[in-house]
Formats: sequence, structure tokens, C-alpha cells
Amino acid sequence: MSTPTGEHKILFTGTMGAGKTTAISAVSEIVPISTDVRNWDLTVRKAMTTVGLDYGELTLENGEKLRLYGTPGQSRFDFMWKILSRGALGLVILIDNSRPDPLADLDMYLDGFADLIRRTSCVIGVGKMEGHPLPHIDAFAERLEKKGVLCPVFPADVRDPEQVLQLLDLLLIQLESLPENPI
Amino acid sequence: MHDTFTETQRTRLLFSIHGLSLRDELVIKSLVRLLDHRTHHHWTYSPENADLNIFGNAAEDVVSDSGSVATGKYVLRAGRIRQYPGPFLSLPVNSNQLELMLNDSGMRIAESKNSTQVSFDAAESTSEFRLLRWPPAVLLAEPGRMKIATVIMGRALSADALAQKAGVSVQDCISYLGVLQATGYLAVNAAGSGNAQGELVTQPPVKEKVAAGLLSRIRSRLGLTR
Repeated sequence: MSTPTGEHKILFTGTMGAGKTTAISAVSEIVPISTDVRNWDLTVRKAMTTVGLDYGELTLENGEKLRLYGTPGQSRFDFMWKILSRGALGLVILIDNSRPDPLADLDMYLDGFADLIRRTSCVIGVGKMEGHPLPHIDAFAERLEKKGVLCPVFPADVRDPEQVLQLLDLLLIQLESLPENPI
Repeated sequence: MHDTFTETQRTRLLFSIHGLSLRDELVIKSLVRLLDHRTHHHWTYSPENADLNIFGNAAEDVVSDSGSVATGKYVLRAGRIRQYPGPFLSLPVNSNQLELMLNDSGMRIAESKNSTQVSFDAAESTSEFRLLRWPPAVLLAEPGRMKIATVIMGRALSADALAQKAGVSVQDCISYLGVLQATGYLAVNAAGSGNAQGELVTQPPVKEKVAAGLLSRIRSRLGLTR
């Protein structure tokens, strides 16, 4: 699952405004590099949006790099999802519950990253639930079950670095719990 | 990522309605029946000995100040205006809210019932447990539960091994496993017993291997303890 050069990566995906850039900023040791451009989608109150990807990184104690990629959110960039998925350790899906159909958003990422999820690990954080409590968090778990996916899903505000760490913690626990991965 | 486990039957629970208008009572009863294919538990109306008592504001005389009735059963308040703390169903009733309330109440009731049970497979140190599907929020509220659930997503473990990996006490682990089993979220494998009742019938899908020590290094760099 790792690259031959000792570089490893975790992906963050989600719709425009779900918090991919914010989540990466919370844990990256460098100022994240973002390929943001002006947002022309007037349905989203956001001046800039990611059309390419976000990038942050962490240096591990043996000098290896853990690269944090935020994928473009829109499905028209799904060709990049497959490229970025190669060799990734796992996937963090961020859902914006204020959008018109957050469950459909979840479906899109579960389908788009199905191979990565099957091969590695996945965790889902649902944001903006305070002002938009529906669909309820349990509806996401039920949708996962219908799609045949088992992974943690819980409300997460990625503006809080602790909650980003919780997402990553559960991602690591999944990998650590596998018999083929001695810690 | 799997659906090949034998599922536990839905728990049958009873509900009663007190102090609501006949119209509201009929609407709630009808909606409960309509929602039956969606709710986590099978709810049946019973005017007496119900697990869940739905009280309108006209029924305050039978409810104690603490919000629970003398029988100790679970209470859901219903009305146009909230007058008491605790779970509350707004009227006129909304089917989505009623479904959430039934699921939430059902989980709490099932958890409460389970806490009084003395015989549970987790007490058998040879039994192994694996999560069937991600639990509802009401079953994840207490500290450590999300970690416990995550650890047994990918492999079956004994209660002792699970407690060690999740960093919680064995007692907390057994208690939570009991809740998950009672609510149908757990597959149990009695070691050496083959495919007996309600056990694991397949192994989880094989995942890719991660370089040795990498996960510890990432955890260390993020300041995450196990």
C-alpha cells in the first residue's frame, strides 16, 4: 500500500465547502498548497474552491512523508480520484449536511472511491449538522449498510483540529485492527 | 463491506399513549405501523406494561417530577409546546421525527434491558465478536464506544483482545458488546463451535498490507495515543 520511495498518503474528499482544505490545514506541518480558483457556483457561498487538489504533509520520525491530499469535490474530476487513490492508506469523506441531498453526495463518493474503500479504510465525517440536523446521522449509517460498506460515520466539525484527529484516529484503528498489519 | 452474516431478529417493544387527543393518538398509532418497515425495533401498541410511554401534557398527573413514571419505563413527551426536559415529540406529529424518536428510545430501552442481563457471550473468553453494521448515534455516545466499534469492523476479536486494542477496560467492553448484541449489531463466534447460532459465517474481505511500523509512526507524529 505504500510507495517504493517511502511516501504515504491519506485522501480527503467531499463536496465544495465540506472542509477538505480546513481539515488538511488542521494537521499539516506545512501551509497547505491549494489550487483554488474563484468559485462561480452561486449556490455555494464560497469565494474560492478547489478545482485541482489540496496538499499538506507530515514528516514521520524516520524521515518518511505522509502526504495529505484533498481531492477535487466535483464528480467531473473523478478521473483524478482514481489517480490519487493509487497507493493511498485510506480515505476521509467529508459531507456537508447543509447541501440539498447529502445522502446522494455520500453515494457519489462511495461509488467513486469504491475500490480504495474496499482495499483500505474509510471514515466519514458529517459537518454542519447543528443548523441542518436532517438527514440524521443514522440515515448515513443506514445508507452505508445499503451500499454494503462498513465504516465509521459521525458528526464532525473540521474547524476543530481535535475532531480532524478523531477522524484520522479511526482511520488508523481500522488499519491497525487488520491481522495482516502488525503494529 | 459485507452482508453475509446472520442477523438478529428485531426486538419487539411495546408502547402506550396517555393524555393525547384521540386524533393525535390515532395518527401516532397509524404512523408507527406505517414506519414498521423502517424502524430498528418492532413496535406494538399496548396500553399496559409498555416499554415506551408517550405522554401528552394532559397526563402529567401520572408522571413524576423526574420525567419517568413510577414503573421506571421510558417516557417520551409529546405536545405542541415543550413543557418538560427530555425526549420530546412535537405535535402535529412529523413522521421523520417520530421515526427518530422510536429508534432513539428503542436503543435506550434495549440497552437498559441488556444491562440487567447476566448471561452474555462476552463473558466467555473464547467468544469472538465482529461488528455487522455501524451503530446508531445513541449507541455511540459514551466515551470509547466509537473505538470499540471500529476495532471489530475488520476482524473478530475476543472481549479481552478488543479491550486491549481499543484502550478501554474489559468490563466496559463486555458491557458495550452486550448492548450491540442485544440490538442486533454484533456477530458472535463461539470459538471451536463452528457455525452455531448467530455466528460469523465468513471472514472479512482481505485488505492491503501496510508497511510494518508505519501506522505507529503516523500515530506518533499526529500525537495520537492508543
